[in-house]
Amino acid sequence: MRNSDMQDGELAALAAAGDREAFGVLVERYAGAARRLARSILGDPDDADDAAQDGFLSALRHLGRYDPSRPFGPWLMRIVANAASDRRRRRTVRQTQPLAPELAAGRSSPAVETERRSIQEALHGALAALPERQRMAVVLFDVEGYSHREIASILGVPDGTVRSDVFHARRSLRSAMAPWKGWKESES
Amino acid sequence: MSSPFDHQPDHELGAALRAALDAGDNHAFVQRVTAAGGSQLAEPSGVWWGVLGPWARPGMAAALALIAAMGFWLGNRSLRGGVAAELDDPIQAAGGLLEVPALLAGQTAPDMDVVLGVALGR
Repeated sequence: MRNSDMQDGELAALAAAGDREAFGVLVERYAGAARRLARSILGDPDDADDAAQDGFLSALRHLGRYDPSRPFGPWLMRIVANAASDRRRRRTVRQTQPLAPELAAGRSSPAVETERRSIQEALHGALAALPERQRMAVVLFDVEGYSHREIASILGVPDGTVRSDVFHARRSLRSAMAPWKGWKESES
Repeated sequence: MSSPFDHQPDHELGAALRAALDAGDNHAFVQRVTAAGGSQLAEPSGVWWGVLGPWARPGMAAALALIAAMGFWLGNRSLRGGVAAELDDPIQAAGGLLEVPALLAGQTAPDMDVVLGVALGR
């Protein structure tokens, strides 16, 4: 069986035994989710990639603690979230760029690409304005498709708290994006 | 459109967030992390330290506590050993009835002949 066909648990066991290829497959499988989660916490893409890498390497060091009877994704995401939160706490200078007033007000932009970028910036701004836990909850639920229970295990909070966080985050994001008529079409 | 109350993923919002958060070029990232992970695996300490590392701090604390306890015990033992040696001193043991207190209370060391005499009961 090729590594790419293996389940996460098998790959984790191989990686723990020193199999670089198995580790590479796991990284490939979770790179997108880990980077997005880290970016939702940190904002800055370079910082987010550094944090996601820290998370993967920390997971590799601690693979001995992973319980293969449980899903690998939430275990890894918890480590990545911790790595990103640690980095955010250490960070002192870099901040997310505030939106230009005309963009925040939702005025039309001449070029479609510019409009799309503006909407994404607005979404970043709205996301950055959320409390960190709400940010993680909504990204893990609506973007990555984890269940409330899995997110609860990632964030170390009760299921009900996750439901509440997702609800409040969605309401804030939709409210912030309301002036942008085209935000739903900007996703492609 | 999904309601914020939904317990199902909001695909509309999810897709917009995904587009906003996606950094693209996962390949370069995967290469970078795999290389870093490979060098971590290549380090002899990489795997075993991952297992033993978490034990290091409590282990060091336990070792220090053990050393301190051993030092205390040995110190006590040698102190008691010193007292025992005094009590086993043949002069005291044999001469407790005679002039030994006077010998011990003297300012200068007693003459060896006197000491032997006391010890032999003469």
